[in-house]
Amino acid sequence: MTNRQNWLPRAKSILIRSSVLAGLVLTPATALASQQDPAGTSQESDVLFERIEQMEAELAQLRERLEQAEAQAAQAQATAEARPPVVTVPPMSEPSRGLWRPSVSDVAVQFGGYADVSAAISDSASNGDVSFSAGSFNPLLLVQYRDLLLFEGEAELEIGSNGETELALEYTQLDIFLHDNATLVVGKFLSPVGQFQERLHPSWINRLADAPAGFGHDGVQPASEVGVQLRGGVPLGSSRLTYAAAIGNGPRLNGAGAVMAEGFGGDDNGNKAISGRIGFLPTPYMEVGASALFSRVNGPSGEEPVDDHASTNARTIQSVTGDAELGDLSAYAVDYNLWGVDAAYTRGPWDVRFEYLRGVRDAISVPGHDGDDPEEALERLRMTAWYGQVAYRLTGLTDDPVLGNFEPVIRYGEFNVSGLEELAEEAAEQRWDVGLNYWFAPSVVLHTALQYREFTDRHSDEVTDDLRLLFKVSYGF
Amino acid sequence: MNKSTAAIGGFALLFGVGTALAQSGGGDPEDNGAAIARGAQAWADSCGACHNVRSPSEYGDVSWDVAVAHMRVRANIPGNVARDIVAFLQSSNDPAPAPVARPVSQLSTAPAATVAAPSAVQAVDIGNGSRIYAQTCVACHGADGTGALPGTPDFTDSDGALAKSDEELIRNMSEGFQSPGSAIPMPAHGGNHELDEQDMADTLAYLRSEFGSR
Repeated sequence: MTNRQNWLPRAKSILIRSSVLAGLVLTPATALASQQDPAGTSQESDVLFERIEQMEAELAQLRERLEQAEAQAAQAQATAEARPPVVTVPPMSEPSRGLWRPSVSDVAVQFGGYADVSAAISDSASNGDVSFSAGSFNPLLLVQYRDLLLFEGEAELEIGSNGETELALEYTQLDIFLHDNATLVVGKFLSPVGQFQERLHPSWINRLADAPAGFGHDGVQPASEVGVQLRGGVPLGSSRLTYAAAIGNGPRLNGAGAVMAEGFGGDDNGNKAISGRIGFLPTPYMEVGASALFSRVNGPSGEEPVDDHASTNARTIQSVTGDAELGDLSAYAVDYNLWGVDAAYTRGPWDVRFEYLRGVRDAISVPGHDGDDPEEALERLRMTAWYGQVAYRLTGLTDDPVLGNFEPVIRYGEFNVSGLEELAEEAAEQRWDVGLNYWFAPSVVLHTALQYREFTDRHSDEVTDDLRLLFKVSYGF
Repeated sequence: MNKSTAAIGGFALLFGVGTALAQSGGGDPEDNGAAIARGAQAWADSCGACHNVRSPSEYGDVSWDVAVAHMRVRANIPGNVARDIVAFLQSSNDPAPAPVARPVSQLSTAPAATVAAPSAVQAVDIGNGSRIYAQTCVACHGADGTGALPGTPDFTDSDGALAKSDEELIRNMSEGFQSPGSAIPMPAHGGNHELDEQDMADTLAYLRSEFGSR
């Protein structure tokens, strides 16, 4: 088709040039023939007429070929128009799930989070029925500006046992990427102490339906902090060192003298808490870490604490009420320090974890009457929590697509308390969990677990143990 | 006061140490193929440390940008490693690459799936296949071929994946494949679209020589 298209203008050009040449030749030849002697020029005229006849024949041939070419060109064009167009589909680069950002924009926004619903059957429930729970809904908003800033904000919505919807801000932080190995975090962030609260507590990541004893909200493990944090990871050959160090407002004491390590929006004593964790990964599937928290806390003010974080998980540290005879001890500040270690092994189908935390709040003493020796208003509080957990995905044993989605898991943990009788009665326990997970997708799981709790510091006339069957469906998105 | 001063000093020290220890490690940013290969390994290593790895197809390119930035902070992933992971995920969430355009005279009426038949390749290079396996495949399939991620097929099983025909395996490698029991599908070309038909054939030859029973 390309050759035919090129031939057409060439034929036209030949035709035009031939016509001009014929005109130039015919005009002077005719004039000469009329002016010169007919006898002397008759032979030349014959030659000229012969040449003119040849040119007229060539002109006719050219006209014919031109008509043929035009017909072929029209036919080729009709054929081309009848053929389906060739469409080049570029690689799909912008699907669009949960996301809004033009590809050329500096700002990217993503919505994510997780949600769960659960049910529990307890042998100590007053009515013995199944207790359903809407669980929690944790929407997460991420807004990134180039490779410089990232805003993270996560809320937690829960329906409490009293039917009221509770809203809490899990964290709201601005991450500033200083360089590949350092990120500055400001705002309210999850405490870097330990591994469970910061990285494992979302219900679709946690291998069991609830947090280990003494971990998560209202445990010895700090939940969050308000302040500034520097963190990052540094490659060491094939290994990696991770670090996180934070300065924040620190924990407070409730009315009974128990420690509340939620992120408070103000500092009640002017002493900033320092916390952090160092982690080492000798291989990508093995990690050991050490954490610490150093802080000072004011004594209880004598006011009744407000239980603003009701939980379905039995009674909590914040619900421990104080002794009215304590009086106002807020003028007395003491140290509250915590340290811990953790380890993880996550190769192939295995998920093995261990974590230990120990927190100590110093005793609070007040001056004695009339110059007597100081009296101990609150004795030293010691809290220890630890757990060991093993989960194994059955894909390590079978290629069956259904059986491979099952994951047996077992966990044992303890939360021990000394120095605060009320807290020990409420929260000290030993807990066994034997569970079986079914993974519908990498972030969709059904947790089932049989849980036995023995409350180690309760009186014999109280509920001293509890056997529960737990179900929870979690979806991370 | 003293504690605050110490804390600020500690921050400065940590920042200084972090800066001093900062390693480029990311290689030539223009070398996207190498970044994808590194990212495949880093993706399996970093994400699987806390939770199941998600399929690259769960998010689009920009979503992965943001999600990995989030995980860079949460899991203390170095920035260069995070960028490699993004390169792999953004490469892997694409559909199978379109067939290469050919001259009119060579166009075939066969469906696209048969274009990748090994008949188009030259003699296989097992050494090249070994290198590709170590760079791109090992993240999920493991160095011993038994599978590093839950549900990944065991190449050493005589009745397993390598019992399939060459044509079927090449097609699976070229177009991506969801193994029964695997939580996530294998992306087309293992997520590295810079690999061509010859690379696929070389890799298959390596698999058969290293793990296969025939």
